[in-house]
Amino acid sequence: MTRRAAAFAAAGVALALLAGLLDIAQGQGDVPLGDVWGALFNRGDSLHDALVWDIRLPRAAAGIVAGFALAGAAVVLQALTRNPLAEPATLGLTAGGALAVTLVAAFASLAPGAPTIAVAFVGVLGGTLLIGTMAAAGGGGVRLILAGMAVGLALAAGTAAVRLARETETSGLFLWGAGSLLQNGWGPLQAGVLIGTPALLGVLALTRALDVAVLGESTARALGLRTGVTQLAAVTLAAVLTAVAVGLTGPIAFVGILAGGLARAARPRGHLGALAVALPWGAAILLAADVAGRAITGLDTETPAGVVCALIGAPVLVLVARRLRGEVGSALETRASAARWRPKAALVALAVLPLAIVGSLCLGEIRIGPGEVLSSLFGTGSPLGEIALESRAPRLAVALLGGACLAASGTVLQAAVRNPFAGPELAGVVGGASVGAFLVLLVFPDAPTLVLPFAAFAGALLAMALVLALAGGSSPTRLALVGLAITAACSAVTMLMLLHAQPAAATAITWLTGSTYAASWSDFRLLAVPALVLLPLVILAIRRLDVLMLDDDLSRALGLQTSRTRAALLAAGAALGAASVAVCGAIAFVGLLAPHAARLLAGGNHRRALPMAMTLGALLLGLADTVGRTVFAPTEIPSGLIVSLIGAPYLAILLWRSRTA
Amino acid sequence: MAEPHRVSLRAEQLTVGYGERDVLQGVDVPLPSGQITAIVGANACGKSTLLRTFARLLKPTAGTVLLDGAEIHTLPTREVAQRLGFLPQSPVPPEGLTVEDLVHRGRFPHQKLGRRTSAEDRAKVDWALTATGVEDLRARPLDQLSGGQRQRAWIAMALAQDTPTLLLDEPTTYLDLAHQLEVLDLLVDLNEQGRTIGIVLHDLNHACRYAHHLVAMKSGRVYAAGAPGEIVDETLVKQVFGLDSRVIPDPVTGTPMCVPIGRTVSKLREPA
Repeated sequence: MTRRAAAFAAAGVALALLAGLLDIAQGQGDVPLGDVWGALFNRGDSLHDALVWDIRLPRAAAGIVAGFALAGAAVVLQALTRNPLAEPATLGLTAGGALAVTLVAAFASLAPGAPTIAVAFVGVLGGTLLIGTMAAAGGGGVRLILAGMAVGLALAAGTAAVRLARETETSGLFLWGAGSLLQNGWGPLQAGVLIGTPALLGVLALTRALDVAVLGESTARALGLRTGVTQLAAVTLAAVLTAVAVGLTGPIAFVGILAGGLARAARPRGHLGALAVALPWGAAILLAADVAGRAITGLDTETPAGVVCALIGAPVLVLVARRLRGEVGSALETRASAARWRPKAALVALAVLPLAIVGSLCLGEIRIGPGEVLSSLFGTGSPLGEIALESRAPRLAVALLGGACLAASGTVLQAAVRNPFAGPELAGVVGGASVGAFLVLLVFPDAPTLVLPFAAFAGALLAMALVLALAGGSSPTRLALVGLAITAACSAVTMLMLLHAQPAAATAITWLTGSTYAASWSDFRLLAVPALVLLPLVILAIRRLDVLMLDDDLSRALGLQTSRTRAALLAAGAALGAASVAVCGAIAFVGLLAPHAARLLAGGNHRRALPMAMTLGALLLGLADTVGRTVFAPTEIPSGLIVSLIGAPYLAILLWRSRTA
Repeated sequence: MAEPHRVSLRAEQLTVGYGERDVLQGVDVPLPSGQITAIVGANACGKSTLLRTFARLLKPTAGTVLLDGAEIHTLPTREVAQRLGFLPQSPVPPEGLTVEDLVHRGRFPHQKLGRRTSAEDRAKVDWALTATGVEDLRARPLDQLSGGQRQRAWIAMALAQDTPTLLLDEPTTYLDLAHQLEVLDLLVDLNEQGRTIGIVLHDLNHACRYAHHLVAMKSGRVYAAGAPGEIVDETLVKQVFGLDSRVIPDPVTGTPMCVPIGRTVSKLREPA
């Protein structure tokens, strides 16, 4: 090991020890410092001794185990993807684990320790498969991170929906879901150590293969590495380590990025040296976050380590993004793509829309025929039909317009940052909207619900302004990263507010899951006003979108003021997304998938692709609304959850096919 | 040459830097009007930077680029785009575009906000497709084309922009030999129709053959500039590329042809 790497490693070990001792000294129960010290070296039968040994020590130990696991997984994932931003959270793996654990806990019982880790492993593997297909589909660099973020957000939306549906069963997971080191005894930890140690040893054995693997697949193979086996082993080990961390402490982001980044800064000779630096630093960061979380808000309303990590990690990510020169992973090969102008298919999609509208209005508690719907729409129907329409029509209208706005927003953002995995989330819209809405729920619990959309819209615009101010219009990569950072910070703040405002939480989570439930004509008007202002602007800019898609140099050479145009389009696109999120809630995937699917039917020209995307977005959210209110009636399924259920497999299939194409 | 060529694009005392490092250190380069000018040099000598500054993509730290006598950085972006076309090195097309879609985008600087595509736009696109020989491929998706076809489609896009001056950054990279010559021959055709062409080339022999005017750069400065036959010799190759060579007349065109000598060649020649 080089002297520099050794110094980094030693500093990490020292910091981890210091943070660990602080953590034990500070923990639950009022134990004088002297008693803590005494108990550590000589365990007696007193209450203090029990507190130290059965609550405080396991907590610190959980920090070490999870820190090691997250840092180890991050080093492996960063080597495999050759991407310094890869880690269990940015690739959507922790979200997969969290969803699996929440699901099982909600519908069956789940003991902590080995069973939880096993369930988390299944979820992490699911996330790994999704992201693996994306990596194989040529989504390197920031593309991969955006894809991981999309997967993570969708899975988190699923988790929130499960929690909402099974509030009592999952109430115990609340702190865990935010990422907390809190432990009840040694049992789960022993399981974590028993499972994590072999995985970590496996990673150590794999370091030499990783040294070669980072040279790229063909080079590695030429050097005699069995790349397939190496990748499989490495991914499996990373998944096991992630599962250990998720099982013990819940989904925690940024520890891996930070530890991996420090390991690179230490300039070790290979991955063995990188691990020697990253592992102690992972533990140190996690323990320090735990100490900080309790120091800031006190022991009673402690801030979970996961929230602290996100709040530390987000600014670091912004700094990294701002220091970026050039593009990460922008030199993509021209790939075969299925995006084409297919007039027949496009016509079918357009024709389906009115049919779907009438069909949706027919269905419900009272079934009425299509003729009845049409005559009621024109005010000549029977009272029964008009009553049925009174509740169905406005929410369907909101869903259709909301879906169209989200799709337009996604189309604009994808063109502006030239990244097919971008969506309204990217501009911080969803995160900002959540913070805005929650802030109102927290500060003015009695405020009329009409205030919520305005608060959400304001929050979304503020977050977007922040993203644009920090990133500017200069570089698509920088924008993506800053958007990621702001989104992470927003969700940490949201989590923090949720923890401090349990009573308002249910309303908040309903909103967060995204629902067109009980939408009225006044909601529709709220959405129609910004849509009528912004959509014409976007349509006027269609040629600019076309040119912006080409290349920064080229679009400038064609006479476009690239930075200014990109910033303006981003603002318009994000505002469209914000309006929709403000009224319909945080609905993931529509803004990502509708533009994607539209390109398959209408090709790459925005003259055709934009209207097609809006049609598909309206169809998707309209369908989700109809299914949500009819299939399990009278129980409502949030449309956001249904969209995620449709969206995740669609994305996976799409990426899988583009891999083999 | 009877009279000096009119110059439409000219760099004067141009200094360009990224951060601390000056990549171009006060260069004076005119692009003679109606000629093909090739810029050659070793890797990282500043040749692409020069071309990009010509195209108004980089802002000089000192000195100016003059387009028809006006400082290019004071001109509106769109106006520059109507007079000056630029094709970057191996651009990546967005997915789902046909050749014709791509070429249509070259008309952007001539289109007004909200106005529909005009008959002139369509005529120029047709002409660009024909001139580059891709009119049969117009409905084909870009991702189904060979490298040479795709490069011609990109050139067609720049042509549709309909500018008197066209700048190209290494348009022959990643193409096989036949396709390289195909692209260069196309540029000669365009030049003969009266276009001024500025081009960064990797291959010195191609530059000698196809360019009227050669600019040889070395570490951010112009080492020599002039007609290839007048400036290219063994000293220039040694100075600019750091390579021993023999320069002989090209058996086909009579222009200078550089035959490089590697480190080990003389050893192989020695009798055993």
